[in-house]
Amino acid sequence: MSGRCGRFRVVVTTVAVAGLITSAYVMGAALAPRVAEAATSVPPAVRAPLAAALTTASGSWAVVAMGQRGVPLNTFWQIFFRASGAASWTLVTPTGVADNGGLTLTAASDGSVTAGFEPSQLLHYSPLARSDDEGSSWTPALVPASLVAGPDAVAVAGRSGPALALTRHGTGQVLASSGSLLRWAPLSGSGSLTGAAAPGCEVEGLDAVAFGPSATPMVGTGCGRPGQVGVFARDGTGWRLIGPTLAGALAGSSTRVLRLNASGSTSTALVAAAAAGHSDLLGLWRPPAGAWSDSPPLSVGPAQRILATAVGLNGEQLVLLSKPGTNGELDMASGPGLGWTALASPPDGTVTLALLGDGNVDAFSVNGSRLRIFTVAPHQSTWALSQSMNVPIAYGSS
Amino acid sequence: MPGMGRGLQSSNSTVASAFHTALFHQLLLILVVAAVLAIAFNVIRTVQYRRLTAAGTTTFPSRPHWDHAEPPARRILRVGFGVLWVVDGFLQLQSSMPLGLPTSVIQPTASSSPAWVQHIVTSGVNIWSLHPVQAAAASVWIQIGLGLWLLVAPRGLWSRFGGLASVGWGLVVWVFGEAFGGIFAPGLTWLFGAPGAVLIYCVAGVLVALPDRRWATPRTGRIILAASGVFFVAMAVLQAWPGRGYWQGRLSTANHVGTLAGMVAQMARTPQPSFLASWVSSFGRFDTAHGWAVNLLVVIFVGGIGVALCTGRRRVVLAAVIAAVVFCLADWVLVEDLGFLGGNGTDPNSMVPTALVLVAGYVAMVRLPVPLPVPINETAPGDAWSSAAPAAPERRRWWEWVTPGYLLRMFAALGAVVVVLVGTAPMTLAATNPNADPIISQALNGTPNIVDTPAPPFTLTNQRGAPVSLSGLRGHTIALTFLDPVCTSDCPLIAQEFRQADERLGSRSSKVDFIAIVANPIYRSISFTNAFDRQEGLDHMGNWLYLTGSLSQLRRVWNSYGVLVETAGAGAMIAHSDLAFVIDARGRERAEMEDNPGAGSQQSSSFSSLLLARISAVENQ
Repeated sequence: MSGRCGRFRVVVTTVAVAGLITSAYVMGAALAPRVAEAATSVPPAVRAPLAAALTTASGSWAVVAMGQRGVPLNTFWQIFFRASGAASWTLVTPTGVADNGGLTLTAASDGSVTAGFEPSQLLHYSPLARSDDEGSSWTPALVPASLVAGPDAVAVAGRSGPALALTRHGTGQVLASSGSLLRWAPLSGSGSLTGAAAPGCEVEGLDAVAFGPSATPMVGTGCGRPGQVGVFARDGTGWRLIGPTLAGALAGSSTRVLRLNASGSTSTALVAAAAAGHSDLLGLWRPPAGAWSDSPPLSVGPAQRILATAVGLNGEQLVLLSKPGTNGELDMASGPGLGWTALASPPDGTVTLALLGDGNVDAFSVNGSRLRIFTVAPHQSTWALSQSMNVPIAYGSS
Repeated sequence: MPGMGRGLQSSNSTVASAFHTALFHQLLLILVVAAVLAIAFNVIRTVQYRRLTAAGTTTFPSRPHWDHAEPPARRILRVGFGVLWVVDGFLQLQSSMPLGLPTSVIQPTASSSPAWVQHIVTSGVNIWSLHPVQAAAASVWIQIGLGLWLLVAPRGLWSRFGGLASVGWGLVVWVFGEAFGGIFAPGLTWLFGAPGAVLIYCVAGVLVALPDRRWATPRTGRIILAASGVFFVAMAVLQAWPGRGYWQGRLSTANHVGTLAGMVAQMARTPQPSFLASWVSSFGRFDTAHGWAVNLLVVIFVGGIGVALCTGRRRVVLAAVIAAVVFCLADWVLVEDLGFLGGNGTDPNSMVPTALVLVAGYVAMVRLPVPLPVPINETAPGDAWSSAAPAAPERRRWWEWVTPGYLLRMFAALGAVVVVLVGTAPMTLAATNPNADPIISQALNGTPNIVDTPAPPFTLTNQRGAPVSLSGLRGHTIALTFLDPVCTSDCPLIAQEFRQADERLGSRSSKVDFIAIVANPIYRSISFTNAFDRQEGLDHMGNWLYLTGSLSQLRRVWNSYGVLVETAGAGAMIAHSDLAFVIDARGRERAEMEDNPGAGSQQSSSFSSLLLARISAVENQ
């Protein structure tokens, strides 16, 4: 009797244990996350893409992503230049290094431009290329670290002037070069930007570098302190917070500096202000030794992201935002208090826009290695094809 | 050329040839051992015969060593899974196994599993990828050996150890080869092999390893069937769980079919006989059209079988087992598509093992071992259900009770163990070697070109700004290559191969210099060579020289060594030849080889093995 009971208990126990294990397994398997649902719904960060353009007195420059743009390794970034008064753009991409990690471009007040290569694959430092002849030839240089992926990661004060580079060390580090663009050192005091020395901002990462009037180093940062814009200038005593404090509806917003440039003697910035899941963009302008003036805010919807930015000769800010069902929403802030002007939605495939010196806007529409450039005049609503070309992209070359 | 993404195809002839050669050599070793065992067998028989003759007996013992026959259920499991292991071993003989198994089988299986599962699987994949020939050959012999072991050792400890060995190897395969049978991945279904065919092999191995007395009553059979019943019910629940895509033949989104129909369609596309593809495709279309009804039937059928198995009532269980076997066979053909056709199939998937376990469970419940006839004048040899080798009667010597059949099976089992060891031993050694085999590099780039010509001279500038000439390096063996300091793909990998070769040289590295010459006409200054060295950790390598010079100097060196350097526009990297040279201490070029690291990182360190071999060969000449 006891033997049969013992066997019965063994059978029941075994089956129960097997049942428990299997049930747990079934529940786990059934409730496992679906592959198709793996993507989370993190709202897109409001940040400036590398697709950018700038205009100087000598002409306009555009950074354009071409190739298989869904495949990072086969997305090759190109630099185009259009001289003031010229009718067409010219491909002037520096050679000798792969640029499928991305390109950033900065212009100095003397007309020289410097391209910075974002790291790609196994290359962890950033080559540079400087041109003093409107892209006809380039002189190689380097930053011994990885540039941050932003359109204003490099700033150069002139052919032999100092330079700044924003690198990915920690939350960002500013390196300075005396002019050779080959030897760099951490800029004295840059560490204080993220430390307790900047309580007025509560720095949340470094966004951009630029040279202000008199070649004053400037750094744009994110600010956690509500309403504060993180623009710092370096004087003899160290970094000084010079960014404005936002008022009104934006007073409670945290901010990021998306673009930071100098147009002539005027410092310009494009700032994102975010609060309670909503973002606004606003342009800022600061004359030498003057106060900041701002544009009205441009609302950015939760599903929108910035596709391209451009800075005009006089500090105008041009922004292309994604907009479902259209080729994008194009807005321009011409100056302090002038508000944002909605321009005609650009042509299909537009990846970069340039604000020319004559006030026209050029749109770079890309399909693989095929580039079409459309132009729209101020206050017109129709884009006209002005140029097209094939760029010989070497797919799979890195 | 850097970045041109040359990868190894799984059918690579160099690796396939090396695989076949390794198998042939191991087969020869096995045959030698088999011959030794055969001689030993005859020697022992001769000794036994002489001892018996001296004792006045002229015949070998014939009394069986167990007083009960092998339990029928155990025999079903032992023979069934023995055959399956042998079949699996032969499937591992496919030429594409060395390179194809990780990429075509293991990684796709693990791809939908959680990161921690992929991490574990990757560790196994890495070992296989570094030593593809040894790993593939090991799998062949281990599985054939396990199968033979189970087949030739029917009773006693030898046989039980065979079961345990198959559990051990089965777990290795289940974890690393099947990513835990996909049980942590979404969308798994029993219809398609969950929880992994090899896990069922493990269950069978455990059952084979049970002592004989466990089979003396129907209890073991009842436990097997009841546990199977619970499992079937659970699988039915899983199949019925909403939101997993099994209730839909076609999803609401256009051109997307349900989960099961998608799996079947995928199987139908694998290479196989046309009639089989036709059957599978037809079922896939039927499921696409009637997905809800098919899943309902599956849930009812599988759940019903599970409940019936749990009842323990003989007739009900018999009906359930028959239904389950029929269902398993249908699923094996129509859903699992036999499991081993096309691609790199390594086993017949889960349905045949499942059916075997169910049949064995039923047999264990209804057919108990029968007593063997014992000669009237002999006494029983001890415990009837001894789990060990047969117990010899007291005061009896081995030659008085060991039968020829027992001796033969023991030697056969020993031979099977040797077959397993022939696979296990080299694989164990390979697994402890973190460096990839040179065969991978040879498969990618061809074998080194052995030469004996004066190395073209050069004088360039090293990374510290000092001039360096080839003639000034006489007395040292030189490994030379050409690297672009702003290269994003191949050059950093090649540099790491050189660094690894230096580390592996150990104290011998003081006699070897590793040299790279800049292969970029634009980014060629010392600033770039130094930046590259820091990036790759070469700045601390005492015998590393990264040389550069004026463009004309570099062009001369490139031309003299046959290195092509081309500047492409539109943001492309510099294109240059991936070449390496070994130069002996007298300044003579002794080997030329391509050092393209390939498209994947699995080839890492393979070239360093090849380079080391050439350096050693040059040093020893």
